[in-house]
Amino acid sequence: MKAKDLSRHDFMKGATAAGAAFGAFTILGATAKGQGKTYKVGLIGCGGRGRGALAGSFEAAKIVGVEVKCVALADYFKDRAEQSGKKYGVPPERCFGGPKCYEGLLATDVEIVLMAQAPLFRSVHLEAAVKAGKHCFVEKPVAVDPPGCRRVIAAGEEAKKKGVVIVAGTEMRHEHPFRLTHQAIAVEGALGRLVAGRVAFCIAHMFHRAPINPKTADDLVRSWQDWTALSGDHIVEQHVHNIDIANWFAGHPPLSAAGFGGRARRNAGDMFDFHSIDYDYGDGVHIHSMCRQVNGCWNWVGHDLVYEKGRTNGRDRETPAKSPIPADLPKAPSSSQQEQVDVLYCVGKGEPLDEARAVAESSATAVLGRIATYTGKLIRWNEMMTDPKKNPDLYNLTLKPTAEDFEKGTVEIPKEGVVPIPGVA
Amino acid sequence: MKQQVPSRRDLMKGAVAAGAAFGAFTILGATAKGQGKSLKVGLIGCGGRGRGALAQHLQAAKILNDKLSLGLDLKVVATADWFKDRAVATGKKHGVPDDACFGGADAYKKLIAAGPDIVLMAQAPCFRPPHFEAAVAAGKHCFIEKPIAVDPPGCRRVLAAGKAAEAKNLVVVAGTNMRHEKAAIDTHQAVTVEAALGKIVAGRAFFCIGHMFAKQPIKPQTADDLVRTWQSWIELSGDHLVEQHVHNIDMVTWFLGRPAVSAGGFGGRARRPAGNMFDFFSLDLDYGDGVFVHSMCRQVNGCWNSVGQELTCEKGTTKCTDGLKPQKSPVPDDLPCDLDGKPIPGHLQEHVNLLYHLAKGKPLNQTQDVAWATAITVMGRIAAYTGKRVTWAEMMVDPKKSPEIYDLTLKPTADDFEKGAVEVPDEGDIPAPGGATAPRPPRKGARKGRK
Repeated sequence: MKAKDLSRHDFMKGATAAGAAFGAFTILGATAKGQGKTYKVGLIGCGGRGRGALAGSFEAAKIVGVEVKCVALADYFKDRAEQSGKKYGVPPERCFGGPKCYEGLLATDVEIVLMAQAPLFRSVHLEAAVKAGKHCFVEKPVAVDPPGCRRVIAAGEEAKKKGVVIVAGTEMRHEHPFRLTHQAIAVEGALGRLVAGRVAFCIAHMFHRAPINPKTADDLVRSWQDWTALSGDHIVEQHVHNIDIANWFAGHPPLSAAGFGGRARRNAGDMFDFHSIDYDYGDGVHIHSMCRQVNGCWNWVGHDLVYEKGRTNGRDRETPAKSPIPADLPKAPSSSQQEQVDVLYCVGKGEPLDEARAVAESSATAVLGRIATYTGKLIRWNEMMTDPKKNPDLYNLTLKPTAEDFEKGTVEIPKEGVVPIPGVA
Repeated sequence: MKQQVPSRRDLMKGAVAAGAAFGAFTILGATAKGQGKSLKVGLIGCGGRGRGALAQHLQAAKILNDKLSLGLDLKVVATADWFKDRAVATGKKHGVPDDACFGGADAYKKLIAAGPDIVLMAQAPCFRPPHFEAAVAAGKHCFIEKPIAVDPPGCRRVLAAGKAAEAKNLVVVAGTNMRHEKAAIDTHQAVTVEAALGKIVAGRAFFCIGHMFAKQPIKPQTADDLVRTWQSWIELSGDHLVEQHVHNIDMVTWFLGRPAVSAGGFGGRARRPAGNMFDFFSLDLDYGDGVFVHSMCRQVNGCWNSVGQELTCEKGTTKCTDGLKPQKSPVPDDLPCDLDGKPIPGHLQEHVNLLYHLAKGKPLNQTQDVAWATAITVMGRIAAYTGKRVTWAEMMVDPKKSPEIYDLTLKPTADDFEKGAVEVPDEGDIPAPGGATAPRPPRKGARKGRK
């Protein structure tokens, strides 16, 4: 299944399907083109990325010609929420903390929720936000395990019914050069059939440089980037960007993944620091995915997709016969602003954009790869995502501690430095 | 010098290049119509693969005699092994007197001096460059197992010896067995020569299997201990990427017709309890002209296993051995490729090919092919061990670009073994890619951790 683009064609379909349960959207839609409108925005996850997304929303509002007002903030750590609150004039009673902070935020009159909490929490928070009829911007990845990915797909279906906008932080999909190139090559077939490819996110070491020695749930949340249960491992947390491009251009997720990975230099948390995967997209198309976070190595971040008649890096062919970009969609100077422009544009137009499935499938593709490298096995998409009976262990694989464990206070601290060993002795 | 061999056309080509140093070939040529040729064979490396190669060599002669009445008369005249008792045991089977069964680090010299026409080599890979060099210098036809070296200087040494062999018109056949089968040769002709599927645009090569060799730490004390367990040591085997996966890399390189330009990659040791090697690799090989090949190899139990290669072409894919029919097969019409109605497997076919070409005076020299394939796997190994992208130019061509890669020599070397200067490597001491993660230097005015 292909995720919806921001094409006018899809907008129309979405609008038709919308119906009466439109919630906030109906109110918004009443203002012609959203001009002069003020949108109430809230943020869950007030770390660097969250604050950046919120700032991006304000920039985007200027570009689109609307106003945004930050009305609520939430973070696992209340002081972080309050700190951001000070900057945006949000009173302390609208700054929520703790593992259930999202519930407080969703109970306010917020219309658009930006989500940049740790990936583990996103599927739960997104589900609740859609249920509350809020438009959502959700950072990537949207989940860390197969049930989490399916939860987001289901939330996306629900959002479609309600006419709730879901925009994902897979930012390259929002950049115009990528959208135009995708249209020219993947939709219009300018280079013929996709036959092979390579995608990579190979960079230096990230995050903690010394063991974290976590004692509490708080310690884990504060250092979430170093724990598989919270981040999904860097293949899911970071490389999902490139995997998303592969899925987008292939038009579907892969059939299976087999791979290799390990921990060469990382000295904190419980993640690998490299993965190298053979994704089988069917029809003889294989894509080699590579990611690494180790100092002093060969670094490359990018895409190289091979077609019958040429190749693309995903953004180098901005000449489709027909642009998929609406004529009145403003172009932002950066991708992190563009994705917020797209949020406000879609909300304003009353044209719901559903990126939940696309980002959930890309997250799941990265999870598929991670399970392949952790176990050494070939992991099949249908066993992990679509058929509950073939391989229940895989289909139901749930990383612990879960988001619910954090809410219930039943968090067991993972063992630092204990990483999966592929295969058997 | 005039020679009498079955094919006059090939004779002319061969005769021009031949010169005086023709060795066994001249002797053979002297017998009218190739009947009743006597050939002396020696084997270096009497382990399982060596004994297998010798048996297949003799069987190949029988096949050629049965089908083409070549009247080849093969006699095993000497055996050599690091361990004399192994050389003697193998010699006994083939009627070689004990005094022509040589042991020790210089056994190969004695074997070559014993006057074989053909030398079969299945010693540990690290010994192959000096042994091959010596055999070529003495004008011997060679069967040389893969890989032919474990480091860049070793690969270049074999390439140079291969040129010398060419000048002497020696037959050199490599143990990259898949490329000897008719189905592979025909597929290569169709895909690479005739471009039946258009251009090759991408590929994958894989040798992923269960654990191999020692299941416990070896705790070597002596050079003997290392040679006995050579499959588990980088310095002797080159790591399993070089020792085993070279087969698939050879196929891919053969089809592409050029060595890889560079390698970047990943690898590690998940489960291996013995020696000092990795047990998995995953490489991005750049063959230039936009062609990238994903190379994968693993020796770990309980994982996804697959062995083969697949090339994606503009108009389809090939596994390289799938027997695509070329317009014109390059395989000689009279070359035996079937036995009892079945295709002859590569391990046997390679000896049929060797003896066929030798008997018919047709040139066949696979040194460059197997040296390229070996060097590409060495390049991949260095990439995985270091985390760096390694280029063919710096490793094989330009001594000045990265001398530490160009001159990279694994120790103990074959020379160290000959001189008794072997230092035993630390078991389990494996390379860690990249640089260490240094503790972050304290920042001025850094905030205290939040409570």
